[in-house]
Amino acid sequence: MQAKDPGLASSLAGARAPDPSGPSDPSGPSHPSGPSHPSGPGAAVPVPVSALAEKPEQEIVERARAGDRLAWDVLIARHDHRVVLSLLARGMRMQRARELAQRTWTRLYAQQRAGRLDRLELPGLAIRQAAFLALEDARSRPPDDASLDAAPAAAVIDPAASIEERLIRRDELRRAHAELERCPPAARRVFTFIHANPGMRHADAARALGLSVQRVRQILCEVRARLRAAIETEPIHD
Amino acid sequence: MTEHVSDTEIEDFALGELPAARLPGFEAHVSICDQCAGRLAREARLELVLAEAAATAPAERRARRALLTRRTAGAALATFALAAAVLLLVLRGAGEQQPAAPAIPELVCADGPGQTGCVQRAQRHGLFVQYPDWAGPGPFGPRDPSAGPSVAPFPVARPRP
Repeated sequence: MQAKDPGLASSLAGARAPDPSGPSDPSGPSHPSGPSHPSGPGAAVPVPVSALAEKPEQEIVERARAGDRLAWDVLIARHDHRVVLSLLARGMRMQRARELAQRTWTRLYAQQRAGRLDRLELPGLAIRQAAFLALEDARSRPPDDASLDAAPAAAVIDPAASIEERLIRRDELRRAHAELERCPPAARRVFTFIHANPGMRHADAARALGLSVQRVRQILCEVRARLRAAIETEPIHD
Repeated sequence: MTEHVSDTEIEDFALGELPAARLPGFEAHVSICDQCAGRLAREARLELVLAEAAATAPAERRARRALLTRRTAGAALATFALAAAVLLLVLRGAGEQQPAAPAIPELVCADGPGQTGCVQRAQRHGLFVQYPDWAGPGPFGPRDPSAGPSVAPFPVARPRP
């Protein structure tokens, strides 16, 4: 799929140039990613190493809200993967999901520049914005658009289905919590640490936890298997 | 890549751990293969649920509360007030048994003819609703700028104008 604007095109090509499709500020945030975001097209391009990334999330968020471009870069590198996952989870194709994720960050940045970003809770706000853009995207397509991306995107806009989805998800969460409580504390610690630090590589997590990478992966794999089983096999009581 | 991607690759991708060298082939395949795209969608969905579970796990919440308590305990003058606050928190938590507001609001009710029904049904089920921001009027008319941030969890009792 072809990118329709130069910023998108450069991002999909792996460049880390500012996105000119965004706000007037030419120094807008660049789209992912690098070491902390291995799944982007620009995975081989290193993210600017910065002490900022070591600071607490809240501080980075405040800097981003104040217009610090580097802070935006850090946040995007940290949370973009989950935004992409949220679109993939809706059945959207990879390329389209990446495009919409980039538009999501551009939109959020534009809102910040316009002083309309009351709060910046990530990844929640970005995921919601991505869902909304998916809706816009689906609406903008002609009804007879039978491209691969069109049908999955259309599923995003069915609010009735989304409510049922959410109820099911709440039930899944309850079961996941219950199973997580049954896991050994050490395993729970690894699992929650990994998820509390989005974008952190397992090798870095292992160092922080004082474990080997293999051990971290093994624990993660076991916990995920248990939670997956708990979520997928138990009947849903609604 | 013409072969289907493996479960391990899909899981690694969801975890953000798929090696960069394998990424282009992986993405190229899931872009054209319905079966693998479906498997990836399921894994992505699972990962989101797990992330939310990790963030909202009771043990995690307790740990965060304990951390907060430790950090603020240094303020000697606030000790009594802090103890009262913690007690209140515990009592409230035990009494109400309300689910914490989700880190990711649970539903986006799109604007359009179905939005009002979507919100009403969500309210009946006690779900949190997020209007698509910057998208124009919601089901109860244009957003009141004085009503505060629009990212506040729904339900908000606002009369239809």
